[in-house]
Amino acid sequence: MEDIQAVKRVKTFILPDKCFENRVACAWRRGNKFSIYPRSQIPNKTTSESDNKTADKILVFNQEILLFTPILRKLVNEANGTFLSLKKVTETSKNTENQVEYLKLSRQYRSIIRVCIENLQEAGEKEEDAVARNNLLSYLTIFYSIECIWHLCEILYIDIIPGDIVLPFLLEWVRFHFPHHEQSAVQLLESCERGSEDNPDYWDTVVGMVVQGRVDVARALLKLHSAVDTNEFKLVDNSLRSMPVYSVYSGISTGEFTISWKHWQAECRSKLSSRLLAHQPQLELIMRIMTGDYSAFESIRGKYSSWFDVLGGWVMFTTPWARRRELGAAAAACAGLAVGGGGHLDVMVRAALEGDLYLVIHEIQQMADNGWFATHLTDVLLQCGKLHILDKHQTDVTSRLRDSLVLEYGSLLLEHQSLWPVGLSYLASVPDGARRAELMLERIPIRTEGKALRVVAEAKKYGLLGVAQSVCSCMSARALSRGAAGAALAWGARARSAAQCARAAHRALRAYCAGGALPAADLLLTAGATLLVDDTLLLLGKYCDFHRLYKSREFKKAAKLLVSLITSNIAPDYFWATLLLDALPLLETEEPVLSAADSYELMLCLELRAACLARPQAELLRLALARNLARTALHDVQHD
Amino acid sequence: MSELSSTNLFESQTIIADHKDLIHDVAYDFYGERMATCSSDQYVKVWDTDGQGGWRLTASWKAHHGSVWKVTWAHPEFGQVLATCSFDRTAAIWEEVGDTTASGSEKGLRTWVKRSNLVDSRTSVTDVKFGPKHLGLLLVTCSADGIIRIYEAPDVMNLAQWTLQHEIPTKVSISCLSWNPSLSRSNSNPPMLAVGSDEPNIANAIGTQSDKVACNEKVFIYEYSESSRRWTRTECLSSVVEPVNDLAFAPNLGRSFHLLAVATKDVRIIKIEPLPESSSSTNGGNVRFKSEVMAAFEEHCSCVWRVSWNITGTLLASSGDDCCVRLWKSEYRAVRGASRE
Repeated sequence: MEDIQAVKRVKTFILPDKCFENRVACAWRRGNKFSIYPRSQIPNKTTSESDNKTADKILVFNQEILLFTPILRKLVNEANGTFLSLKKVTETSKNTENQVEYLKLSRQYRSIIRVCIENLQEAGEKEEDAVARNNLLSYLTIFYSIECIWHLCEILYIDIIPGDIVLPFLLEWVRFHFPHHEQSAVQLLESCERGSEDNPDYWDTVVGMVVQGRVDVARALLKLHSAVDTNEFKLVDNSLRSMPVYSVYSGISTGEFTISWKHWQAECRSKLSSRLLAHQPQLELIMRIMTGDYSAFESIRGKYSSWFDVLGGWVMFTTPWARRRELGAAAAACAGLAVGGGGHLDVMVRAALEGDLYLVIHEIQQMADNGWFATHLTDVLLQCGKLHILDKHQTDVTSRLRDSLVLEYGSLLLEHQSLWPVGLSYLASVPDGARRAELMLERIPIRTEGKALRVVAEAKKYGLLGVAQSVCSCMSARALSRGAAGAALAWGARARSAAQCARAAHRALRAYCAGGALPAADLLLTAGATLLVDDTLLLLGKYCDFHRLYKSREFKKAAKLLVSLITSNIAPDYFWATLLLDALPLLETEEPVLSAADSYELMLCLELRAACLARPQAELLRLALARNLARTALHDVQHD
Repeated sequence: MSELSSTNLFESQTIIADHKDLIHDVAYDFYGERMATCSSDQYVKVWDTDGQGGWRLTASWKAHHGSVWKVTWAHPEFGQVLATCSFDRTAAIWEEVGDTTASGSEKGLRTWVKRSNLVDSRTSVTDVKFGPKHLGLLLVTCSADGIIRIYEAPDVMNLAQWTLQHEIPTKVSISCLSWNPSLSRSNSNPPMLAVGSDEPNIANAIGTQSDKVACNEKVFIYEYSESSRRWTRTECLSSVVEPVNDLAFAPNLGRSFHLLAVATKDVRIIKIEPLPESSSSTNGGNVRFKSEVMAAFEEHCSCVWRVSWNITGTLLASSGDDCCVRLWKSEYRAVRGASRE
């Protein structure tokens, strides 16, 4: 929020029908939903006909969220698991380097993406509806790109590379993501026919294998050529066979390797210049590729869909000793081969190779995956300590960038009717998340008691007690408005809200006065200290207890309780009549249960509250009190 | 690779509201599951989601004897309660009665009962808003003659009883108001209101600006002082001098400052930062805040009518005379816009 600036990245949507002639207004619903409607501030007393046509339409907008597609659910849930384990790893190992764990988790993310891609492929094959299939295919494109970029970033920033010589990893990346030539090579080798050059793909496949560094496969393919016994073939085969391959474990230093490799390439060059291969243009091309000839790469570029297909080959035949940070030049060279402007993926691959992670993240934020990729990749890179982004004041804003992405992603998931707990776990992992979680959790639409209980449980899990209370209060209010005083009491007690408890208790007492039953007696009898949140609730609870005692014929205890209820003066006006009249049967018991002192108290209350009772009832009660007093004047009740 | 880039697909759906005149306000309830509309046809309508993304009309009634300007929902803790304000100089409180949970289709229209009619204003009541929940059940109204009225229902059980707690004259016509939703109960954040005036600027035209400049301010901040039990004007935002049509505080996400969006001749986002108590004298109350225009978006190129924040205050929608609704996103380091027309 520091420096707000208008960015020229505006998307304009044309409304489906031109229904708003001049003025519009808007209102947010939850999440990415809002509505717009025509409006005017000016009172319109003489409604014209034209206004009538447009005035009554409300447009409701919904942003389509790709991640809410059922097939991607697994992706969301599993990524959440990995995200949380990554968080745990960073928490437990604050000081120690933990690259191995990070690598493992990064691979876990990739396998999640892979599973997702496979699911999409499967669904795409089964889908019969053309529109739905198209959708699945476009999701596939998105996740292919995600997989590709993630893999590259893993190699460049997360993986542990012995000696930092990146070539074998780069080749592996190219092979994995562009398996086209490998597939045709397998076919050719399987049929194993001499004279395979008749296959139209033969030479492309051989060249492809060379460019991907599959020297052994290329040699095997060359053996299938009918002219394999000619000198030209032997020459090329020999050069391929003798190519030095670097390995940290081979015991030779990079310097030594460089010398022998340069020697090998010089040999190849001399073979080329001696025009030994002039009669076999394809073999000559292979040889030129092996010498790192730019024009040779240019000539084959057209056969590949993107420039990074040939990146591995370019690095292999120009700088096989390149370290991770030294790929920028190679990327520039290969990107230079491209015909026409680069696409989205090109920009990302190039930025990753050049070490411009800021641009990578900026670009992946533009992808239509609703921030899934940007959030998780940024998180991994940050935890690995590989992400350093400075703002224009040169302050490190990396963790804030990551936090803001996690916030956005978490908030998005909180909008979903069943993914919301996942969203909550994201929000809980960033400093500013709690407040946002509070705002959104409170507003989760609740249709069932079960869901309410879940929201309350989740809120408590993250210490959002205010939300738990508010949800319970709302449930209580809702129960009350449908007349379920018992449920309202239960929710009010859960909320520990005095106001809600009071409302519900009043409702229950009034219902009882009107001849209804006391609700939720079992709840009230076990409520214990909860009763203390509100006087009316306390009265209701104790009154229930009185009923229990009376029913179990414990008249003395019941009488004592009743007297204390009457004398404590907490009953609302409308309940006095009930309370006082409840004393009648106790006054008429065979053995007196109300003492003389009690009788005096009740008499006093009766006179003070005489207005609450109808006249005959008051008379009856006076008489009963007087008789009880007479009974107990000489022999008072012994309370045990 | 064009599918890669985010297209932000929006689905739209049209509801025929069937109001006989212009709709003035659309308000969603706390959960976004119910929608209330009000119109110049003097009717208020309530719509419920049917669970499959559609909206169903569940109530429609003639609420006032004049255009109904605004409709607003109370927090669901207080039940299903609406407040409306109207050209007929009144504001009204409505409560839904009967079973509100039975799933809708088998039930017909629901009944909304007028619980109270607030008739203190002598002019058109231009805006009405319930206060933040933690203050109890509060309602504030403002009217064209510039009086802000704050009502309280002392007993939340009894929506028929509202007491007029405060009457604050502002001397300018008030068009809109917004509560600061800040949840902090600490003294540094007392209850706060922002009001906006749509009074046209005549002073400039006449040319006696020198002494009139001070009166051209259109946005005022009022705060409640617990000790004096009064609402006082603690700030005039000098940065806004054009008539204001709408304003809205952003939800507070635990920030130390407040964000106010103002719809005037452009969309403005104003940061209002409370100054530490020591630097401002509490009695004089001369400087309480430092306000700063964080953004002024002029893309509408015309009068802006409404501003509306999403729940978390990360997106602001604005609409104006240019027939565009624009969405402003406050990203880390940037606010970006998206518009539709």
